Amino acid sequence: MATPIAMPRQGQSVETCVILEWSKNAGDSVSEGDTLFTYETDKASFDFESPVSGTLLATFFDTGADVAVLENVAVVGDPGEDPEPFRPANGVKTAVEPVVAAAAGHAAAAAHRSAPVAPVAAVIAGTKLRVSPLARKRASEKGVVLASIIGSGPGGRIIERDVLKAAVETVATPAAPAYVPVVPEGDDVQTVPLSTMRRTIGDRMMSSLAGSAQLTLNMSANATAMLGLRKRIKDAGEKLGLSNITINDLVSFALVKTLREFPEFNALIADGALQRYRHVHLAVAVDTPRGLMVPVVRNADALSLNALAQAIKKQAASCQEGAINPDDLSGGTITISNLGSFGVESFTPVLNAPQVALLGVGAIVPRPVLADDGSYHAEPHIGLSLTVDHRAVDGAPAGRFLQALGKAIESIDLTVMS
Amino acid sequence: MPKSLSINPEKARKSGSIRFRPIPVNRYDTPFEEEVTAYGREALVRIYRDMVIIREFETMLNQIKTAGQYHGQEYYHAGPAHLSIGQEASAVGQAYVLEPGDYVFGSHRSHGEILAKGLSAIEKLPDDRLMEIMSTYFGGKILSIVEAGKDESVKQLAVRFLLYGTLAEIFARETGFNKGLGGSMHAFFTPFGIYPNNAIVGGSADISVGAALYKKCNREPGLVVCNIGDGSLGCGPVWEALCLATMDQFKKLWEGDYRGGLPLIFNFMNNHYGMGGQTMGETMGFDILARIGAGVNPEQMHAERIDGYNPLAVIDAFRRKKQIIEAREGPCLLDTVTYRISGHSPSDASSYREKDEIAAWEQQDSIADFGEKLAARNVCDSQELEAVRESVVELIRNSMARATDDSVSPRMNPSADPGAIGGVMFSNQRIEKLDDRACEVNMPLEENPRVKQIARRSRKGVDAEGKVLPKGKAVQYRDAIFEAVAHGFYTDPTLVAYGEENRDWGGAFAVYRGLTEALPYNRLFNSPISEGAICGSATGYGMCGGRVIVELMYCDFLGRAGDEVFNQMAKWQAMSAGELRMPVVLRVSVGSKYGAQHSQDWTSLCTHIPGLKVVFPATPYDAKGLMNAALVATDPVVFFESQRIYDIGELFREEGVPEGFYEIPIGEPDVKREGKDLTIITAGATLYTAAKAADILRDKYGLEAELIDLRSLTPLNYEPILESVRKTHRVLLASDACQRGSYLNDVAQSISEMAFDDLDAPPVVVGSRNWITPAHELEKSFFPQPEWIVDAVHERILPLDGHQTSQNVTIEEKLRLSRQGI
Repeated sequence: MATPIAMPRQGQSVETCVILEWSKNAGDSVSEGDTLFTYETDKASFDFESPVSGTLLATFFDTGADVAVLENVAVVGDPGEDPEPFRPANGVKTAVEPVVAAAAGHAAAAAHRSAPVAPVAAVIAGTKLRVSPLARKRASEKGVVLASIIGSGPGGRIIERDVLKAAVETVATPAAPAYVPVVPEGDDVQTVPLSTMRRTIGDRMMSSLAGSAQLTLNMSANATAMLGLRKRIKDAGEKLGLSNITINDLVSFALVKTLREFPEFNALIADGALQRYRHVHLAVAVDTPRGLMVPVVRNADALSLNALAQAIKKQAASCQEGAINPDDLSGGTITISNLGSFGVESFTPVLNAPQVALLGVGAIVPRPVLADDGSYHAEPHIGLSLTVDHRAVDGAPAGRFLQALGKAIESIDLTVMS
Repeated sequence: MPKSLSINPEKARKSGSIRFRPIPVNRYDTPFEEEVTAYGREALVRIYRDMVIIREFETMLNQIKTAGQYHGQEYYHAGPAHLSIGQEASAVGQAYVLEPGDYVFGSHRSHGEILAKGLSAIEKLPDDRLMEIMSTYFGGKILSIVEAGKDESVKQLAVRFLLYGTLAEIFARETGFNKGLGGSMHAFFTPFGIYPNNAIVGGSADISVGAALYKKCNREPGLVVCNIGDGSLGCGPVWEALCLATMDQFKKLWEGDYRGGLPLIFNFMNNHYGMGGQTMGETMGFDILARIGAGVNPEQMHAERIDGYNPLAVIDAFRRKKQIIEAREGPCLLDTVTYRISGHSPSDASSYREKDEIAAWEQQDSIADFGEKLAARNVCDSQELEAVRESVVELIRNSMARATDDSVSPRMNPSADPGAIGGVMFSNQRIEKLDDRACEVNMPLEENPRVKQIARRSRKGVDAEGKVLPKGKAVQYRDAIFEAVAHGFYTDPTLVAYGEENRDWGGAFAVYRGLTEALPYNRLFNSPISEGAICGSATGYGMCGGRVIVELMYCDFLGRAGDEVFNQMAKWQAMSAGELRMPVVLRVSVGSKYGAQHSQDWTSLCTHIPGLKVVFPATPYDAKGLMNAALVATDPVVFFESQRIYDIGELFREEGVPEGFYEIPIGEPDVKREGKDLTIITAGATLYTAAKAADILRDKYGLEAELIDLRSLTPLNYEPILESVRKTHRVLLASDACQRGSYLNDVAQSISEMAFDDLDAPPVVVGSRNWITPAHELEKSFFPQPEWIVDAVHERILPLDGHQTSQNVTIEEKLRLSRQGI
């Protein structure tokens, strides 16, 4: 009777064993107790002794094969008996196949493992700031902007006491006379709590006014050239691939170009030092449903008029949609703010501290001009209000800067070519 | 060191020689005919049946492991199976003599001993007692699975109960004797006198000594058999166990009816191999194992070699040894010659022995040989023997079918019941006394000289003006522990204490001064310098039902008792699925001043091991309250003490140390000083260092530090800690443990997880250097100093105005040291 020979299970966790050597070949006669083959587990090697006598009718695996335990590896029986019914169901013909298959499978698995992994976390905005968890929490509670704080903790980490100090300084603006509110009768008054954004704007404005010496200079510049250029661009813009260029874009461009000659206005003042910037990072005040936002166009001095206009539009739109990257709300070196569309002719903008200068742009209004012949004619003039920090610059240089800006606007055709 | 025993120089220096008596080797020679008459047919057939049961049980496991099936029933068993095929006669012969109330402890190869002892107990217990055991064990759960058959006797039912409970345990089923938490190498069933088997070689040796101590100290009848292998004689703790078990004092100093040797038989199942190492001729030098007895005591431990291949020779030997035990002349040592036909485990290729050797032993197979003798003497014919074998196969098949059926024998399901295993890690009971009998004491407590001395001291550590009292004027830390321990001795009659220098000397640090006068030897005694056996025997004493306090004179000696504390004391409650309790207090004294091997705080080693409760009080009030709590608990409590503060009075608690009994719940940290700016958490005597640091922070930098003493390390309630951290937002942790691997890193990490948003700085741990502890004169460079704590606050948490650090505590330095492994 044919007896199938199965790979024994050896040990607690052995799933497969490797056949090291066949001691008998198919066709050989074997006696009970003869070693049929040797095999090994990861722990040891063993001799397999034939449990019966007879003829080795077939071997199903070659030397080196890694065989699942309890799988038939051979058949012993009488000559002429058919060993085939005992051949393992996986139909192993040679030992080479499964080994190759296993190796290929392994390689595939390895390849899968080494597949590039997408970076898990993007760089988080502001990671350069070192802030303790508690300081972060406190800053959010008190509406303190962490970026404006210098940490006093180990390694410059912003810790709780820094935030509390900043919060106190913000509140400790010059003491106003005590205001005694009139107790309203009935429902005359509706109390609307300030939004976080509103409080942030408020804190920043207070901090700016409390922490700097601001003065504003007003003048106007002839806008004829600017209006003419704008009309030409508007008429021909689409054909030339130019975007819709606004008066504000043209003034912004003139401002950026003028700053080349006046680097002390493209600067921040902090800790008793003036930090002049080689490049102009132009902050643009944008009116949004949530309040004032001031996104920054970086390296504005490297941009063409068209590129600058596009960048300003993009940043403004992002603010309107509330989709602005918080990174883009800081890092400006000078700010431009335009109230001209409301007919405001001149105003006193508050500095975007710690910047040294801010240009307010007013409406374009006709202005009587005395000609050489003694007659009057009207010229369109645009209002310019420059606020500067007197700690950094005096009035005269500010006047010279404003004058130069006015010339750049009046000769905008040349300015855009420079 | 008792004064009553004088060391006489004349005797000690006298010339002479030691005479040994011959040690008997295989002397059994009673003719079988005589035994047939003496035993009678029924007993002899039962001996045969019991051996066949063991053989078939192990064969079944071997089939499952190597062929995945037994009699056509397929099963895959991943766990271990260290089989004892060939050793059946040794197990059955021994159990034949033992009473149900005698205890056996075993090894990783003890399936046979479990079954033999169980079968013996079934034979000897009355039916109603058997039914009571079966119907109450795990609420009758196992009994309901086994189901009584028609016309089946209670004993037949009990045999199936035994086989099923053991097998289900081996297969890790919740319906096993230990709910599957013990397994093949640890299975046991105490109602039949089967005590834990041990996967650590020789692990049962000192545990057995503790069990014998329990029987002796509590006047429990019966004896204890320690079944360990010949290979275990190479293990230090086994030698320690022999020493502890044969102390002269049992026969010379213990009083009244306590005088006399321990009721214990060390039975070495000598199968000639420690796994693959051949003990005779290769790995050991004893030649014949029984020789060892001659080196232990003048009685030579009554050692002899017996033929473990003949069950009747084994019975003869155990009967004689039992008489010696009953005459209080124990303990005894047996070298039971046997042979393991099967491999060490199924992965054993038997590469270390020749086939001829196995064949020679198979030729003398004890079961076949015994069967032939029975047939030859017409005790029963071969058909009857065949019938026995067939019925056994049916029994085993039946047990296997039930034990492998997932619907009948499910495993624990920790994902469905996450508390299943955690719930048995501790017994968490509060029991003041483990027996109701009167406590044996020598005098009323109030007459004790130590009690009178303490009565003259102030319960507070400071006077009315808040000035610290001189050391002799206040109740000290050591007094507080004494009061709790004394209370325990006058409350729980089972309580015993032992260790090095516990009696007369009163403990190396005078904690027990006064107890020698109060207690008889059987409750307080000195042990040999055998830390392993001290802790292992306490484990045995505790698991048998008594309460015990043992002591390691220095924490540094914990390494000597590593297995006993970490693998034995900590594990047996859970491995018994809650059937055993472990009311053991291990006092560990943390040193200082004595250099590298006597001054280490190793609390972190203990907190790392699941199953231990770990406390480290730092004040007299806490020491007394926690010791009181430990002495009414049913769990192993490692009670750390600090030698720095044995003489310190109570400085934190205004009302001082209460005179009466009170408990401090284990697991509760304590706020020692309130503050709002910083939390300093300490473990152990570092509390006092931290208090000094807090003074500096207050006086120089205007910071109010809150001091929290953990008191307990495991378990630990984090709530008070988190409450403090949420208030102060800053936390520093300090202890005398070496910084790397300190348990405080664990606490710090947990605080980071649980209070992250409230933290103004990372929790900072200040520990000792990762060095050897240097000499006392250099200790200030090793142990945390108050300035180190201030430096760490300045550098890592809150820069202090004008502070100059006393040392380099920069991150760069930390990186450098870490690279160097220091």
